[in-house]
Amino acid sequence: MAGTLTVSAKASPFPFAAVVTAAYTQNAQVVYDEAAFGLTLELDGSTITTESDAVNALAKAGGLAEDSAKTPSYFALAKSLVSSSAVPDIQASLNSLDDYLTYRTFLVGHDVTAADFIVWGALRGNIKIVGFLKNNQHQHVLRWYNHLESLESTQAALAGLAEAKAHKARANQKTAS
Amino acid sequence: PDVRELVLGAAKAGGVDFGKSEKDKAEVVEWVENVAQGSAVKAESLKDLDAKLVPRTYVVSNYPTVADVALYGALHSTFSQLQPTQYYAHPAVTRYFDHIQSIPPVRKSADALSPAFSHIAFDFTNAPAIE
Repeated sequence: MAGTLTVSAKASPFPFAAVVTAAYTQNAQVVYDEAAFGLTLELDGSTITTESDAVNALAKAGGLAEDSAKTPSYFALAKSLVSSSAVPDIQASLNSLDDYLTYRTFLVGHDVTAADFIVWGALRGNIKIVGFLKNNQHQHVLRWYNHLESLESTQAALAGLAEAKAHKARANQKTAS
Repeated sequence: PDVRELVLGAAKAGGVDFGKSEKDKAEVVEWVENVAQGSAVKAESLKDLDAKLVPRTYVVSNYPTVADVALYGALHSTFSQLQPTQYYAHPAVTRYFDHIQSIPPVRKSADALSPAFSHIAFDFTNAPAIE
């Protein structure tokens, strides 16, 4: 573990992409700190405070496939989707992702890259989009989404988040009594 | 074309599994037997296979196994004869086939048996919109 990623379990939107990329690349340990504001990645002597930079740095350090010309457009898509609640926009983005993923296993090349994690994280953190996906109108996006969610590293990261939330709930109970 | 050689070569190259759990191992065996039996990979069965592959990235669990190599190998002769309109009609099998053929140990094994499992190039940029 070269680095440390500090986040708050109650962050909203929660930086799913950063936490899951840290787990996948095993390049940073995730530390939950309730008092943390935003996100802080300490990696190889540098301090990073935005999720997109954190995902890029972790992916690079983890040796994930290098950026393609399309990667920045996926980061832009993730940024617009993460807090989008406009149904037509969400539908249009999911339709376009679905067309692309009809014939492609991942967003860039034939392996998981930063583009997959940043877009997956944006979808995962948007309850409206998760609802849309559950309707199964975008079966190719769903296949890709479920694959990333099912990875052992993703499952471990989500379990860590659940544990941090439970810990916080117990701590609150203690204060109340 | 010798699918068995292809599978053994890919397994030897590493990165493809026989199944990480007992349950996965049993499923791998089931797929391999099904593929060896032959009917699943005929052109007329592609529709059924396509439906099975829509929700899957790999046939067993979420990582590549020898079942994927066997299925890819068995599909190769069918795919080498498909016209674009035919593979566009089976997008999930095509996506799956293209992914498995690109996995490094599979590619390595396939190239060693050249020209039997030559890389097949697909044109996805000009694929017609679905529905």
